[in-house]
Amino acid sequence: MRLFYDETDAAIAAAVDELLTADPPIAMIRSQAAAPALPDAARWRTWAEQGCFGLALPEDAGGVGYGLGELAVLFRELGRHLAPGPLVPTVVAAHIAHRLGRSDLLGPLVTGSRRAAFVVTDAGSLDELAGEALVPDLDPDGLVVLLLDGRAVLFDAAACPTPTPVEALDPAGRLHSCALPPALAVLDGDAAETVRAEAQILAAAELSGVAEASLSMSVAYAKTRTQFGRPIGSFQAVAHRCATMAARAEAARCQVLFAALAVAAGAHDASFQARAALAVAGQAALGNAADNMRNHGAIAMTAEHDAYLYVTRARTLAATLSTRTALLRSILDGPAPALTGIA
Amino acid sequence: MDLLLSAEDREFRDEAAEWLRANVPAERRPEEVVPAHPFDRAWQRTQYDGGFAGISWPVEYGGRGLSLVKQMLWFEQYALARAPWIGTCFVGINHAGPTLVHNATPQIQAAHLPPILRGELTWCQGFSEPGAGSDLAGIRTRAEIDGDDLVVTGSKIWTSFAQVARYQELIVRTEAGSSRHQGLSWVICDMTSPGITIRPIELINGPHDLCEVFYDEVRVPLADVVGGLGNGWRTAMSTLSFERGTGFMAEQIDLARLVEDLIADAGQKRGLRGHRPLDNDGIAERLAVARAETAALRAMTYASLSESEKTGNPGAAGSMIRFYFGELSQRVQAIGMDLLGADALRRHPAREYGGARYLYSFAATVGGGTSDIQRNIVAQRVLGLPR
Repeated sequence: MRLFYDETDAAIAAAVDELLTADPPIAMIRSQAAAPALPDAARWRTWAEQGCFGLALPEDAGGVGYGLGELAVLFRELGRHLAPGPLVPTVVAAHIAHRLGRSDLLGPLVTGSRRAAFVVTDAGSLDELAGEALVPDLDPDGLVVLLLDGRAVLFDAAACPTPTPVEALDPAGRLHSCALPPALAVLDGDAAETVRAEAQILAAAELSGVAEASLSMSVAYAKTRTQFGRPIGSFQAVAHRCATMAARAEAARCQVLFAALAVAAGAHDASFQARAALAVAGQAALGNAADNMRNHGAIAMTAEHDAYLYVTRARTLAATLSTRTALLRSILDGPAPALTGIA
Repeated sequence: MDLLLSAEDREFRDEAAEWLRANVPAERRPEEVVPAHPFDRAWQRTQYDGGFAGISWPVEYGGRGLSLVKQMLWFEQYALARAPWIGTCFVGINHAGPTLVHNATPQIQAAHLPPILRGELTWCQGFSEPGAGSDLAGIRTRAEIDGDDLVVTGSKIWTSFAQVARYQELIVRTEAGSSRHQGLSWVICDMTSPGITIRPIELINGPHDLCEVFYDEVRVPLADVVGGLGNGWRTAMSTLSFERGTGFMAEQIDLARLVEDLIADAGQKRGLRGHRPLDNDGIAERLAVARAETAALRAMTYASLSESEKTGNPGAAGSMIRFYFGELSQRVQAIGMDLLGADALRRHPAREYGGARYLYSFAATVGGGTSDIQRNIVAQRVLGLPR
């Protein structure tokens, strides 16, 4: 049994870290503060070349041939660096297209020449989804993805009638309200549930990265900021908060990896593990981002400080796939977890 | 990265499960320590004879010399089979034994390790003192060298099973005038020595597992110092990191099973109007979070174990797991009390939760180092924050 980064995982994480350290997403977000835009086409293609969208697809589908575990490692790095844009939905759309054998839709998603965005809704079925819904990071030339109970639906964004821009909570993101056109492609049944579990794991992986980055920011500040003549990290009020943040980040990291492997292996409790990963990682990102604000004090309330970017990203990611109430209900309603974790 | 067991590990797991099905005692473990002692020793002996004692201990000391993964698989199957709590054999098997494996001379190892595995010699722990709890380095029990012996005077507290244990892992100050972590020694104390007085402590949940121990010029041979005179702090820490790491795997499964029991009970109709607690969003949220966090706790433990297999060191992540587990198990017991309704008034409700079990859950953030101390360790050793 192994549950640690092997050489492949470490290499994937290091490559993404290097890329985003050289071209920091936060600088990108700051430079577009007046008019948030999607990452430009060149950057998106560079990320595609890193395997962001095809890492877990087989080579004959234009992918890299790794699994969901490796993709989760990659998405954790994207989350840690606050990489913007519709990352999870583009992968999810590619996985749907692959399962449907729609190579016409799949190819452009994997190579980074087309993007997909999620419809954010509490609706369980298309009939329930009357009127307009919110779509973060909509690309007018891209696709739109809707995940329902036992059904995943793709739409052509260009066919959406008059999307209306809405100001987004996250300064890194764009947001639209729009009605949905007729479906372009539909995936049903167990395959749709597996795709949803994959989406939950990738969102959870990004959230675990946000939790880790918030922790690192707090620890760095607690070592250098002095009050009462001492670094504030020497006070237990701050030190213990940081230790709690570390445990949350570690719980999220480990559960995301475990769930990714459970889904990849087709474990009978895989759907529970994915939901648990999203619940635990959501809690970790929201808790750590909020505690990071607290650790920084007043300076974190200034618009020029980066701490709040982790709050808005955590909130946005955590609310995208389902409400917390619905997620927690699904944890109780679904199959019971195995008491021992190894098949 | 993968989670799949090798064919050999699966075979070991199945063999363990089969053996446990045939050998787990049918009768319940007595709750009080004195009648529990012979029960615990007999069950330990049965495990030894079955080849399942000291799975990851070296072969030369009577162990099986197998991997930590197999040790963990054993703990998992042990809990699944509802095998009895290790009880009075805990300190020997999980504390003193591993410390002797890592630090003792071959003579001491040969004399002590096989009898521990066979359930013949029971151990207890003498670390904490009335004035040295969280601040363990504040130990004042002193030992003076007199010929070939140390002469120990002082007192210890929170010693589990002192009234039945034959030996004690005892930390004493062997250098007069030394302070803090210096000048301490880890010694083997024979509990039948003259000058020892034992006083059991009544706990809020009932059983008298814990004791105070008083030492009045108790003689301990210098040959029974383990890990070197004056080197007791380092020797003791090797024991504690074990407890904080993989020493409580079976308890995790018990916790997971308890969460499942609570979810099942919350789904039953109650009272005249047939209300189900699970239909209440507040109860449902707490149970769902507990189920998810129990899964995450297991994932953290697997990750820590994988790390140990790779690097030979469980690392300080053990402290994180320890307080995560302690606080989670308290929350779970509290949910249980909220579900019990009128039965919450009983000290012994007919459930695996509530009553005395709820009262005992307050120990989960104290034993083996309080949650606050674990957070200090994480802050300083994992995160590198200043003291």
